[in-house]
Amino acid sequence: MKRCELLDAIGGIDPTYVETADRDDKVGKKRVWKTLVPIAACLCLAVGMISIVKYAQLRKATTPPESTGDGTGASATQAPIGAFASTNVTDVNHTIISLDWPAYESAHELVEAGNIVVLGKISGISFQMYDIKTGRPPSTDSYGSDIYLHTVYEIETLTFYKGEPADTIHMRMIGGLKDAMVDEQRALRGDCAKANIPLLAGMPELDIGQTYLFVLHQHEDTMPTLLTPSQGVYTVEDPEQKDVLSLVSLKDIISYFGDDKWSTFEQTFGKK
Amino acid sequence: MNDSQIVDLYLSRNESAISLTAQKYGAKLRRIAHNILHNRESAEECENDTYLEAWNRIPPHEPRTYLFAFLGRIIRHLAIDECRKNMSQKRYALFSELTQEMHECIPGKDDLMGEIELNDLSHAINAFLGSCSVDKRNVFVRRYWFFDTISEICKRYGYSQSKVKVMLFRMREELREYLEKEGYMT
Repeated sequence: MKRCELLDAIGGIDPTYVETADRDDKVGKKRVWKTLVPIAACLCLAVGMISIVKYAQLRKATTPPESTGDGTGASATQAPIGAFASTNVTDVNHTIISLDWPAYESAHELVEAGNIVVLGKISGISFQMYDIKTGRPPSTDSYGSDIYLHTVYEIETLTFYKGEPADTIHMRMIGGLKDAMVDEQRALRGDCAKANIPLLAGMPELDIGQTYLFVLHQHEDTMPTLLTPSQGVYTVEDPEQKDVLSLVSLKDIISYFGDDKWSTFEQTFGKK
Repeated sequence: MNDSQIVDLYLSRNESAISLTAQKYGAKLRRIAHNILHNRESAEECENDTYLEAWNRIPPHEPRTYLFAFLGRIIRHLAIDECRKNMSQKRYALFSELTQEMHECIPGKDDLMGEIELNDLSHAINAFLGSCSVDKRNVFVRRYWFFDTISEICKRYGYSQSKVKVMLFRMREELREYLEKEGYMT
C-alpha cells in the first residue's frame, strides 16, 4: 500500500470525528467569549462590592451597631445584597458568595489560563482574612468591606506539571467551610463572630489527606487560588470523570502535558 | 431543512435533494476540493460529481446523521483522484506536502505489509483517533481529512503554528507506532 493511500484510508474515518471537527467552535467566537466572561465577572464583583459598601454606609448611618436588624450582630458587609444571599443554618449564619466564573472548554484552555498545575495531597487547612482587592492580608489601607475570610489549604506537592516546583504550596479560596472548624473561623471574624461565615458557592469539599490535581492561578507573588471552583480541582479517584461542566477531566489535563506524564500517573494511581 | 429530511428526498428520488444539498453544504464541499486542487473550476466539477455520486449511493446508503461527512468523503476521494492524474503539476503542492507527511507514518518502504484493505486501515486509524483527545483528533482531522493548512488550523483553534506542527508531528509518530504495533508494518 502506498503512502498516498493512507490519505485515502483517512477518508474512511468515523463520520462522527469529521462532524465534530467541522462543528467545533471557531476561535473567533471563543476569543470574544473568553474576553467578555472575565470582564462580566469583574463587573458583577465590582457592582456587588459597591452595593455592599453603599449598604454598609446606609446601615451605619441608620442603625445602632449593637442591633443590625437581623439579630445576629453581624456587620453589614455580610448582608444579603446583590450577588450575596444569606441562609441560616442552626446558630451559624452562612453568607453564600455567588460569583460568575469563566468556563474552559478544553484542557488546553484550562492549562493556559492557570499558571500552576500540580498534583498534591492536602496536609492542612487553616483560615485567614484577606483583602480581596490586593489578594494579601489586610493592611492599614484595606477597607473593611474588602476583607474576607479565606480558607487556606496546605498542599504537599507530588508532581508539578506547570509552575515553579516546591515541596509545599498554600492555596487560598474566598469563604470558609460549612460545619467544620467553626470556632477557628469565628475567631477570625472578631465581633462578627456571632456567626456569619461566608461560603463560596460551588466550592467542592477538599479533605485533608486526599490527593487532588489543582489548576491554580497566582497573581504576582500572592497566594494562588483555584482557577475556578468547578474546574480548578480534580479528584484522582476517577481520572476520566469530567468536571461538573462536563468539559475537562483530570486525564485530559495530565495527557495535555504528554502521554508519558499520563502513563506515570496511571502507574502511580492505577487506571480506574 | 435537516439532514434527515434531505436524505428522505434522495430516497424518494426527488431532485430537489441535490439543490438543497448544494445550498447547505456546497461551499464547504467546494472548499475541501479547492484545498486539494487549488483550482476553482476543478473544485466545482468535483462538487457536481459529488452530487451525482450521492444521488447514486443514496439509497442504499442513508446518511441521515452524517450527511456532510458522507458527501465530504466523496468529494475528497474525487479530488484526490483528480490530483493523482495530474501529479506532475506544481499546483498540487499541498497534496504533495500532506502525502509526504503521511510518509512519516510508514518507515522504510512505501509498502505497508503488502496488500492491506483500505477498510482495515481505516478501522486502525479510527481506533487510533479514538484513543486521542478531542483537541488532538480535531487538529488531525482538519489537516488530513479537510486538508486545511497549518495557518487555517491555527486560526480555527487559536493555537500557535509551532503547537499545531508539534501536535501533528507527535500524532504522526504515534500513528506510525500504533500501525507498527497492530502489525500493519513490517
